[in-house]
Amino acid sequence: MKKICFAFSFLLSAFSFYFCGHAHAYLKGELLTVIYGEEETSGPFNQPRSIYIDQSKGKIYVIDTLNNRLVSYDKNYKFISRFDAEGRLDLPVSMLKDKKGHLIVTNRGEESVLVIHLKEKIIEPLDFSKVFPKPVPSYLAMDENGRLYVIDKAYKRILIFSDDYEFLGEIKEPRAAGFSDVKWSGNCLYVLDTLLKKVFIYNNQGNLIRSLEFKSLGFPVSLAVDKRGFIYILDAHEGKVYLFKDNEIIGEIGKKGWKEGKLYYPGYISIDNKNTLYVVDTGNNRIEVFKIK
Amino acid sequence: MKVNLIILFSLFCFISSPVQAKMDCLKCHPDIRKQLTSGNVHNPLKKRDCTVCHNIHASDEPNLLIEPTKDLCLSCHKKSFKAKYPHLPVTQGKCDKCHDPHASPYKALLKDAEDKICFGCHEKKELIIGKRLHPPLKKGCLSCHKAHGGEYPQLLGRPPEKLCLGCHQKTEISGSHNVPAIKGTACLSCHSAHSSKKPRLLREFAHKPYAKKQCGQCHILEGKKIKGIKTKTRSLCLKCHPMEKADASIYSHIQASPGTNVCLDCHSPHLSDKKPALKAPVRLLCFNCHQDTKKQLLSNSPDYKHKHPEVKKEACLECHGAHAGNHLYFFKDDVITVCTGCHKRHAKFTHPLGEKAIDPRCKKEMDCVSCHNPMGARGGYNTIFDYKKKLCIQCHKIET
Repeated sequence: MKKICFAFSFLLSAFSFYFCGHAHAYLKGELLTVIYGEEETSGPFNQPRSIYIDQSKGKIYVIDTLNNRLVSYDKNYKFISRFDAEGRLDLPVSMLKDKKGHLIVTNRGEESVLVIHLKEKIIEPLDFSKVFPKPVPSYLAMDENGRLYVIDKAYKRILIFSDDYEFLGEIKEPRAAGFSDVKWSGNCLYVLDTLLKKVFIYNNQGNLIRSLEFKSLGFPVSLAVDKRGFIYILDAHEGKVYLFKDNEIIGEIGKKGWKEGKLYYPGYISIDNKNTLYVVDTGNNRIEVFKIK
Repeated sequence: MKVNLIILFSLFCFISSPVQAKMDCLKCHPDIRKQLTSGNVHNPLKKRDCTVCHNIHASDEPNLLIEPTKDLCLSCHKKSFKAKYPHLPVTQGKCDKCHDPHASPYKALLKDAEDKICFGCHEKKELIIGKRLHPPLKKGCLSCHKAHGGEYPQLLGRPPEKLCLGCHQKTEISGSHNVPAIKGTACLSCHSAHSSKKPRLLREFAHKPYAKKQCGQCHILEGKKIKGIKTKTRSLCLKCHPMEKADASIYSHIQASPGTNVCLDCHSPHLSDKKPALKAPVRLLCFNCHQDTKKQLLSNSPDYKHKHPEVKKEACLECHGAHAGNHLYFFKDDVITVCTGCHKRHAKFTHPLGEKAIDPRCKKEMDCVSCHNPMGARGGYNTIFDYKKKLCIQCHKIET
């Protein structure tokens, strides 16, 4: 009898080890809230394409692209205001705030990046006169020194501007197919290539440190990097966020769908320093906020 | 008691034993018996050992196979099919798509003559488009392509240029071209590998500068000799084909590319068989980048069982834009406009859509893809959930 019990326990342990050890542990992500463009406040979103988290002020900005506006929320996800730069925003896709509180917005419809001085009510386009060929600006990132990194979608490069918006140079990557997202984290620049399913990682000198390939992904469109240096990649077609340690999946969150907690052709992710993951659920016109544990 | 148990156990083993099943299956399967005279007979059938492949009692597999087809075949045919570009039936484990598992008058137990097998899946009219045929075609498709898979695209066993040079001498080519035609040139950018209406198997439609012999529009010339290309990027094409709105759109196809000039991912700068200067049928071009979509469309999964007819035809551009757009899914227009462009009846008669119907799951206006997935769905009529059971209750609560 003792031998039978021992054998059963051994088999049970082996079963648990095999299946639990091999299955992707789900990211422990608790859905905190879902931000909709409510009728009473901002009106519905229309294909929001990204989000900006102002951690110093506890504000969240939704880049509501097809509505040509930015919509801001406080740290409790309550609507604050909407902003269209007096009609100047034309398909905004990305946004940042610099140290002086200026808004930097990629205005896709004008193929420009606007620097918006809110107090002075001045809007200036970023000077691309020294950039050749003429770029197609896309997503933005900023480092701790205020240097601005701009994806040029057409020519496989990242344009670098100083904290007072002088063009400093570019990171060219001929090995890439094209860049779809960029994030600055832990003194490194992380850049995602959707077609090649690769992340290129550069240091603050613009030198390539390494690249990681994620062959198992379907259609990766956005990435985020947490305090531990783990990479989160959003797969738009699968409707999932995958967590990677190096290029091994160690977790996933989400599922394709429409109900809260699910994602439908999502377009962008961002993570703050409290491990709160924001997913721009473009296909469902909303933002889903997850607490990652 | 013990003896009875031993007898019963032995009887059980005997009944289950495959040795016992070497009976004459062909008594009841005369259609298989007829095949014995075919010429080439599969060894297990020759030995009348049907149980090598079949379970005589029951099985979860069709035709009472003891294992799924792929595993079964590979249990004896231990060839490695790990090519860089495998043939689709191989990746799907469908050996019986081409091979007859019992007997065949054709070599390698093929179900039919080589070219007929290939044209069973590959549309002959897409390949044989003119009277002029590439001579290797007469020898059969396998004179250039590998049946199970190749190390080069299109299942070629050698790089395309080396393949061409295997028959066509370098000197013969250099003499007739105004370009350094050997080094790095893709012969297939001008010539068809299969057939053409034009002499020398030249493709049918010409890029205007090429047709007018205005090579200098794109190339650097030294006298009459072509020395290189003026610009390697898309800027070259955009000089004559400006696409002002494409870059100013949310979604654009004219940006990212594994090569240097994104336009050349889809278009041929010299000759092509498909307007407008497309290098290949649309679906092949789309699938070059959208590999996950290709995998889904070719999947046998019940999740994608029902596909829209245009999807089955792989006519991507019926719904999707080619260059750029602002509509979700890269649609040519908003979903309702695209769908009702063909489904005209539903423009007038349908479940409430748009402003009148807010999807309670996501608080978004309903459109056709709230219920249908034309790319593949479980339910009939491409419904995402079974329309007889689960679809409606996604939104409509049942009052009890």
